[in-house]
Amino acid sequence: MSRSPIARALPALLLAAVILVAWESYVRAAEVRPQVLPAPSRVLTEGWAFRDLIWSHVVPTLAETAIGFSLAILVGTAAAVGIDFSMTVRRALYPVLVASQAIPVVAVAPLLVLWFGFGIVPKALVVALVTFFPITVGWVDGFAATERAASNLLRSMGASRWQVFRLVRVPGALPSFFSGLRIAITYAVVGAIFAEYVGAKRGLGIFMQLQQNAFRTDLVMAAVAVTAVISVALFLATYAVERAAIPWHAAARAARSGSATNGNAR
Amino acid sequence: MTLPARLEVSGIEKRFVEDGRTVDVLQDIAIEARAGEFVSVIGPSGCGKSTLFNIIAGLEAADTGTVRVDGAAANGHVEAFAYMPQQDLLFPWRRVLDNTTLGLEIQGVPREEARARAGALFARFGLDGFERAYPHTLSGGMRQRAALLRTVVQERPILLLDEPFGALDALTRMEMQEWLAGMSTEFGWTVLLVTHDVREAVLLSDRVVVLSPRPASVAATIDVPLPRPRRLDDFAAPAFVAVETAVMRALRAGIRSGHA
Repeated sequence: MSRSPIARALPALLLAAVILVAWESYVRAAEVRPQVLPAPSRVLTEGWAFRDLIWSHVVPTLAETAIGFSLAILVGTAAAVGIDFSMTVRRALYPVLVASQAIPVVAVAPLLVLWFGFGIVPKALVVALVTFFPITVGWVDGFAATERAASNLLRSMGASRWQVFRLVRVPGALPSFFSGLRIAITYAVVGAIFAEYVGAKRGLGIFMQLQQNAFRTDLVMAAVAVTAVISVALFLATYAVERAAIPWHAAARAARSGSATNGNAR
Repeated sequence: MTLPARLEVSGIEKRFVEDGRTVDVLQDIAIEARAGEFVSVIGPSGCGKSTLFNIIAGLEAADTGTVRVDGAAANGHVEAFAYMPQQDLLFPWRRVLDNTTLGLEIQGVPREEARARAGALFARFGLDGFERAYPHTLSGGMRQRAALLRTVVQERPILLLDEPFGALDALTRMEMQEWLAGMSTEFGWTVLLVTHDVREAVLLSDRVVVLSPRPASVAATIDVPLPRPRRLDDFAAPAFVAVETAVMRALRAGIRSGHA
């Protein structure tokens, strides 16, 4: 590993800086009204001035995201296990799961509010709906990638089907599960905010809607920035969890790519 | 009265149906190994050696034929055999020690006891100090020794080794062959080895079973009348060369008649 994480993040940071500077210069030069397009500096200062208010809306959004995403992990994992164990379940469930991803959230979110009220339940359900599928697919593909030879080895040792599942299929599928988890988590916060748009007392979604109606575009953008920061933080957190949960994976991967570049040193 | 053979395989037949056509894979295979004997099965690539092994190991069913262990029917019984597949299949998420205890864990041996039993063999398998390492840090030869340790620690009556050194470089392979020759003699293992390496078969075995190309049948069974364990230096001995030539001839005769 020759370069530090900061050095690797440098191009992305530079690009972001260039965009912000261009945006700021344009708004100042063209004297655009802040209701139409506020300068980044204004978004920052106004966002900071209203930090307590924004934070009070961040907390419920985070709660919905956490509950919905936990639900997605539970349901997504249960569906994947069912699909792996039974061909009948696979044939019955997989098409339904795929179809569920074709449901426009725009259409179903108001219905969920109608059924479950303005509380946390419909938001958590929307988050779960938009995030469980990559989790299921991650598991299912991971299970399917188990080598037949590995299953045979365990069977030769007298392993039951459950033991083969627990000892080979699950640990072997974990890297694929984490890939699915990473895709899923990028939808999670946006899902919660969308559900709040439809009807909520608190939350970043309703905050954005209120500020939009008040023509406080700067505060809308401040909320968007906060959303982006949360999403990126959650995305990076999956790497941390992955490293803690399956330390062998990164090490084995590094060893493989290392031997590819160094030749066969052994 | 003579004791029944440790392993007696007879009349094994296997057919597959591919695209509506029936393909014969194994025809009337018979193999015998007494306790402590090392028997190699050699044949051209794709002749069905691995299918035969899966049948003996109890992982696949034969169409006809019997597998007997110490005289008792053992078709489909996995308990009599410790099986080592072609790839080492060490799991990257388990430390080397925990990879070697896998079979014991499945048998329900308590973890501490399993670790003690496997750990006691580490020095003899040249893996001393690597108990807590992950498999990716091991060399190819060490990985194969760890896989063999995982196999023998199950203490089953018969070891089935399916081309265990096929993936190794030539130099490591020769070292491993000589090492296995010593270990199998010292521990008195009963071994059935699948290989397509004539020299490996002759170096290690009391007897070499030569299979014909697909559909595989036993083309010849050749005894190796040399004391075990043998060393790489023995390659040059006239008796060794004679057996090697006989096995080679049987293999080539099988291939010729197979193509005729």
